[in-house]
Amino acid sequence: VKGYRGILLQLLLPICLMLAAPADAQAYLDPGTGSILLQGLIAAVAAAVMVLRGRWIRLRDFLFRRGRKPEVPTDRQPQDEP
Amino acid sequence: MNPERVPGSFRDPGGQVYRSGDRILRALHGEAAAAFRAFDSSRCLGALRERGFLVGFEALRDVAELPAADLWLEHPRLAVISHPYEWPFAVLREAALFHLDVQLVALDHGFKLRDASAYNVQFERGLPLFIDLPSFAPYVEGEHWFGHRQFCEQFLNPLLLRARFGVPHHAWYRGAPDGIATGDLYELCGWRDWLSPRHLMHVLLPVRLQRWASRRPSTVGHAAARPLPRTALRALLEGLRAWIGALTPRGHSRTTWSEYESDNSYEAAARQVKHRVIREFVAARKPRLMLDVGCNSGEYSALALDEGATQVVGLDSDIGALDAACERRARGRLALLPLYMDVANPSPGQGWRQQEFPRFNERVQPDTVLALAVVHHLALGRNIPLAEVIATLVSQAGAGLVEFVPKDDPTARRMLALKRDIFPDYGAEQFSAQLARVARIVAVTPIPSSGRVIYEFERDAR
Repeated sequence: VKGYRGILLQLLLPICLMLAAPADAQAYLDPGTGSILLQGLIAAVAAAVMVLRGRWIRLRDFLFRRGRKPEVPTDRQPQDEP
Repeated sequence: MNPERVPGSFRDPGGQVYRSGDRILRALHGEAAAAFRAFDSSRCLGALRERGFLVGFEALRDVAELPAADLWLEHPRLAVISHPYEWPFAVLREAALFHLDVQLVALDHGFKLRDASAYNVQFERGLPLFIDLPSFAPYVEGEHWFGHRQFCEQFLNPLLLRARFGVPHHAWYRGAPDGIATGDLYELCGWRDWLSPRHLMHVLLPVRLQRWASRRPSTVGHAAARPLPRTALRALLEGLRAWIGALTPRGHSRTTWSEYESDNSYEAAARQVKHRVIREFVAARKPRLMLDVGCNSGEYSALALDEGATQVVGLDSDIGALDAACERRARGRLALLPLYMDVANPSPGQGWRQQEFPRFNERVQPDTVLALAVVHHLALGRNIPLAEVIATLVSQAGAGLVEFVPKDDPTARRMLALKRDIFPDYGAEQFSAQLARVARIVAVTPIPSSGRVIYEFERDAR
């Protein structure tokens, strides 16, 4: 859970800060800055999606294995009986 | 050989374009030459060439008379160099999609484009060509698209200006040849745009992020260091492609002259005569590059192409007429390039030393000109002296057709309806006399029951 909170904070905090920033702040940086930051954000989202996907797969495997384990022998039992 | 550097070719220290007579040469230095050699021997080059995307080139071996460089290339000379502020909406959209296609093919083969300049796309016989070969460089996994801002400013923003706000891009773009700043477009956006994920991503977020980061300089370094996966870059390019492909021009659908063709005052017989004159002229002259001044919806351009002209550049300043010409071009896959141009105010030389973006007449040198139903717009509509109008039209090419429209013609009457007739020197006799002063009149064809006359001229050798 701590990991997810970290990811959420990492993604949401910059967006919240950015939206709260005054729109008339002087843009003295290189004009390409906005594009680089945007792509940094996309990269962060992509990285977060990868992490979440990895965790989801682990969670799914865990649930799947735990849920299926008893089913496998019961399925086979009737075939093995004779 | 005495090559001279093309004045506008200075931004890239890795390579410059030179002109020597009619030949177009390119010098490459250091890393740029090495990158080009890698590109030259890659599958990427083959894939792009197969699709007809690239301008031709040949590596020069005999370079003894040329200035020092690590590699010299020669390109075929293009008949037309046009600028994005002259392209109608549909042509700019086609160039944008073409640029993205070049990038996507390159990315599939491990290459990228180092910039996203709209001036690197040119049209030859109606088809787009990518002309800046040193733009290709090997793609490194994880790197950002550094041309994103330039792509937005030179392709996307001008298209959005018309598609979202109904404002044609030409005047604004001409005044800002590096493109329409995203910050300026941001100021036009309303709450609706915040609800559009694409506006948010390519217009609103970059501006807000830039403003936010102006007080936190270190964030830029962090963002730049974060690797952008190739799949994300691809999705970015494909998303833009889908969006731009679906953009349509807003407003100006029914302008004065876009309906001219369907409701103009010609009788069928008069139209037939006009068509015959054009066909005979084109058949006899076999134009390589024809300039159609006041092309309207491209009816006569299409006729000239059908009769064997190699390619036609059509000029008009009416947005609706240009949209119609673009439709005709797309429908017939014509070697026609319609351009936005007010003949009374053609594109000037601009940029550094006013030579970086050369004036229109330096970039387009036609061998024939059509100036049908255009003289009265300039002489009566814009008060330009008749002698100057005729001399300027004749100076465009060695031969052409120019039409006289009398004051009592319905279109001329409409023009004079709200102003006094202050044109005592505008008449058939004066027209013919002025034309004879600057050119040899080859043929004179009156258009039945209209008072209009078409003159075929050849430029006077005197």
